[in-house]
Amino acid sequence: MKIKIQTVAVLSTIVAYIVSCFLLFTTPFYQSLLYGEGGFIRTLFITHLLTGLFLLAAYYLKRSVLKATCALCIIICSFAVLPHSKLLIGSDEIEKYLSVELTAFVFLSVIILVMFAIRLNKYARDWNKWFDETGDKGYIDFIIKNRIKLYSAFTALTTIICLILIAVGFAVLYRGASVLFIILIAVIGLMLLAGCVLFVLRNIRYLNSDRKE
Amino acid sequence: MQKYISATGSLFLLILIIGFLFANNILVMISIIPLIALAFSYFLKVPGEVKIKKTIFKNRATVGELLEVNLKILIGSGYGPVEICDVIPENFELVEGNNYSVIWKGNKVEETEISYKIKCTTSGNYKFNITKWKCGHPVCNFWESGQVENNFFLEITPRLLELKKIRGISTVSKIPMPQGALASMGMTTQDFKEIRLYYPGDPFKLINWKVTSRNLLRGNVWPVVNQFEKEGKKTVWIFLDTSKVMGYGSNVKNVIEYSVESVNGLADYYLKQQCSLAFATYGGSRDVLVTPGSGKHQYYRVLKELIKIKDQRSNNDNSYNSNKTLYDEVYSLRGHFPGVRPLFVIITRFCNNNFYDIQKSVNAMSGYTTRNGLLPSIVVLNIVGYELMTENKSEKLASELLQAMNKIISNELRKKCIWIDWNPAKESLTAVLLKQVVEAR
Repeated sequence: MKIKIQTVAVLSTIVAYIVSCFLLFTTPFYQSLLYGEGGFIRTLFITHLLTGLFLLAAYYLKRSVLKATCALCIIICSFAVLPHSKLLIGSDEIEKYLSVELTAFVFLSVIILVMFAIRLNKYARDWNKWFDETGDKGYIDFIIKNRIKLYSAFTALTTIICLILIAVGFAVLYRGASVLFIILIAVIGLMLLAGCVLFVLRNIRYLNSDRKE
Repeated sequence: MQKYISATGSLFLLILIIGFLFANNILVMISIIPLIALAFSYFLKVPGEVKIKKTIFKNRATVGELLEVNLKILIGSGYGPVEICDVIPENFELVEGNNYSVIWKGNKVEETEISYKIKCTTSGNYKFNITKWKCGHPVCNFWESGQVENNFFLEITPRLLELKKIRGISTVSKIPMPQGALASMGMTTQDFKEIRLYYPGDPFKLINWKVTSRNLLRGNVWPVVNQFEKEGKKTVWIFLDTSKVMGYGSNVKNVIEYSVESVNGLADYYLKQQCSLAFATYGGSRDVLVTPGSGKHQYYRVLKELIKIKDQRSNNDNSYNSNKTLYDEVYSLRGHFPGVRPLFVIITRFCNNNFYDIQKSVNAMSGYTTRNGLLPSIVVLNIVGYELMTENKSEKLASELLQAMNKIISNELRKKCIWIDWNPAKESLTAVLLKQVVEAR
């Protein structure tokens, strides 16, 4: 079971990397490098060389390539996500290459894949630790399977909610949403934000008082 | 959980603020992911209401005896993995089963049992009361830990050696066995010893009038008295080295534990032989003195002190930094020795550092004891501990070299006392003592 988990984690990371590279390719800056002065093959080579050096450094310092790859995927994606910021100059240019909804969807998939890969890696480590201590392979497989099922449910729910948000936030808003609708969305957003801040503070206060007792 | 909530909450706020700052809808959308994780951590509870009931079938055992421990675990609420670990004290060895378990808490109340067997390798009093647990959230990456305390104390007594008299064979032992030996102090018996001159203070009834009148005829006017043997028990003094030198060996098998075993065995044997036994330690941070006494009560007094002796590990430090040397101890107790002619037993681990102290002490003791043939009644039991830490052939070779070197250094000292080398890795003390017995011709 441990080998299966680790294989899936590695495959997720590879897919996340490929998808984030695809996102990078859709940025105007990278497109100009590929088809401009840099040259197609040279730009690709330098990009992957830098990636390889980063991963080597991570392995040498932290002995962990998976987490470094995941961090690299997020960094690469940020080159495609940040240009969609309304306050940045020239933010309209990226719309020509990839629409904001598609960027959001691809970015979401990278995030989900990266989260899944990191979590599966952790489960593989737990499997190792528990097997060394107890030696009961069958029961440990049962526990890990249950954890994977629950995490998959969490990931699925997160994906559905984010897809709904993409649909509501981008498709509806950008395609003729009324002022009232926008105000409603803004109010809901602010309430959500305020509620989260309150929830976090209350929980911290509750746990602090629990500890003092 | 607090750390997880703070970290996830901070991440959510950070992404949201950056999203608002840059007016980036994608980041605002992504910030919902840590929020969903927070919601999961709040609504899906970590396993809780952990109750652990521990049972140990005995609270008193001897070194090397197997003890069975049983744990009944009940997890009342929550959902997720639970790690249970029953903390075993340092000097215990896990023999059978496992003191660690991982359980999955599902929808129902989870009840399970863990049992295992342990063996103690050192005598002493041990607290055996902590069981630790760790409950993990099924989705989010945090664990809650705690411990359950049960009131359990274990008393481990040293092993009793099977020392018995060999019957049916005429034997001579190099070890002086003080059976029926007589002392010069105590109550007067009916056994005649000698006639000696009268000293002022002697009772008149002891004057032997026949011999006195015969001496008068010869011209000797001074009376003579009968001298009878004094009733007394042979005293045995056991000196145990508790300095850092004795901390040689591993956590499970070490010289101090074997030395405690040997004191226990010898004390039991001599007390059963109606001897008067005294026990003293030297070299440690806490010196023990059990004054001479006899019977079962004396044995328990000695045993109580033995259980308190803790292994003083020195972490490869072979320095002899004792607080009180053997010679100092013998000197301070010299008032107990005159007249009783005791048998001295020194239990130590001979090395270059304590050679002079043992030599000086043996010379001092020789003045207080009788001679057993050519040698005084002083037994040095040298516990050779080098092999207790060897793991491979080259280490074993090194240990044999060290033993040979010590034998050369102690050559002169061996001629002044009864020297017994005991290698616990190869043989038991009973076997070593039996080797001292030879068939009489």
